[in-house]
Amino acid sequence: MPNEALPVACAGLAKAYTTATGTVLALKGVDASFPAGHLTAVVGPSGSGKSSLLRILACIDRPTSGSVRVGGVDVAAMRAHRRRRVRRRLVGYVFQQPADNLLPYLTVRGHLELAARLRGRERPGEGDRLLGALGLGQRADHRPAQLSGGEQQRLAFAAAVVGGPALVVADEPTAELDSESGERLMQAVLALRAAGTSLVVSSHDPVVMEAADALVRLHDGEVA
Amino acid sequence: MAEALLEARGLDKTYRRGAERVHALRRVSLALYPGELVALVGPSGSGKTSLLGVLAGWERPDAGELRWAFAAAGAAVIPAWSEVAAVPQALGLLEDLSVRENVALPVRLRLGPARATEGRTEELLGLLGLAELADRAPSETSLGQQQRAAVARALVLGPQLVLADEPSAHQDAAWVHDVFSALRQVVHDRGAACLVATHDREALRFADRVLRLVDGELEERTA
Repeated sequence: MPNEALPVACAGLAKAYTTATGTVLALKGVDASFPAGHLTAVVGPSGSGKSSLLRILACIDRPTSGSVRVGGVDVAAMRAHRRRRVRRRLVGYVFQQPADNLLPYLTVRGHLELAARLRGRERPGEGDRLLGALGLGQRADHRPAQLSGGEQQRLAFAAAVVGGPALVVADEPTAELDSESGERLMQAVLALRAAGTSLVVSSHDPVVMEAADALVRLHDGEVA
Repeated sequence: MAEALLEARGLDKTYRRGAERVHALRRVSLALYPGELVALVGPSGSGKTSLLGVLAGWERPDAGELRWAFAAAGAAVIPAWSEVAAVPQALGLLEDLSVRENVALPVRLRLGPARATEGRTEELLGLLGLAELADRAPSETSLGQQQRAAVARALVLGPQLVLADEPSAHQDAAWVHDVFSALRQVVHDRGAACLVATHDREALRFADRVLRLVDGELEERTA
């Protein structure tokens, strides 16, 4: 069970990136709320700002302007090391490219042990239970290089949720999964919601959208 | 001659890519000795990353033998960080940790959180131009800086064997020199062996010898 119900809300959120050809405005004043214990799907075409929004909600990036309140606290105003501490304790983030947050040195079980230790929430047996639920029980002693893309994605999800963070943010978590693996992952998502976890998931997957309590539609950096 | 730190004989590795079977390594044999930096060259897709993965013990060969001087014969798991350390192409820095914490991660994992400040973390952060941004998250630094952090992490516990996959791919000329100097330092000071897959011609200046992989087959060249 997560520690606490964690509502998230953002107001006037803007994010600008500087590129070789000028400044790109990925988010242009987004107002949205993500109630505690709900599954909120963030949808929209590629390039609409979904990943930018998710990275800010997960306390990875800072917005150029605007506020992000996680559990009532404005994390956008925090200094980097404090924001990182909040993220480590309260937020699980699933990257779009799972290899971005996997260490080739560690086994599947080692990843979960490390993630739980960093979160300060080591709970006996939780890692193996999660691996079993996600169909990775037989892969516990394997390393990322020995896993398929779909297995890496499920491992990244397991590492993000082990230790029971109150908020889970996932960027296209079912994108690389076949239908059976996708279904297992959705069962895990729904079990987290039933336990009170707040979930924000970007997806093009109709199964995710159907299961969601609410949708936030983005188009060209704005709520549509 | 000193005993090899790593000896491989007749390594074979195939992958399935859709319906196709790809032969990544064909009867590859090599030995790495203490105090040498060996460059591994070859065109993209020639099997360099596969070879490093097998030598690190992350992937199993289909056939062949591997012997590490610091692990029991037939060992399936090689102790990471202080014995074998790697700079993978997908850098694998953890976004939940600052650059400094990422570099110090092997110390924390091997010696425990209370001793996380031991090792060469601060020295390597300085040597590789990361001291000023050590408190940032990896995503708040450039790709070149992230890659140097992965190099520092590999070297922080003074490993016996370093396997580096294109460690200068995102570096300009000055940083190529500093990255390879850091690798040479562990070779010189610790008597480590270092195998570096590279496309960088400048990097070959730092190599004691050069191995070339073509279509999964290994040949030796003079440096």
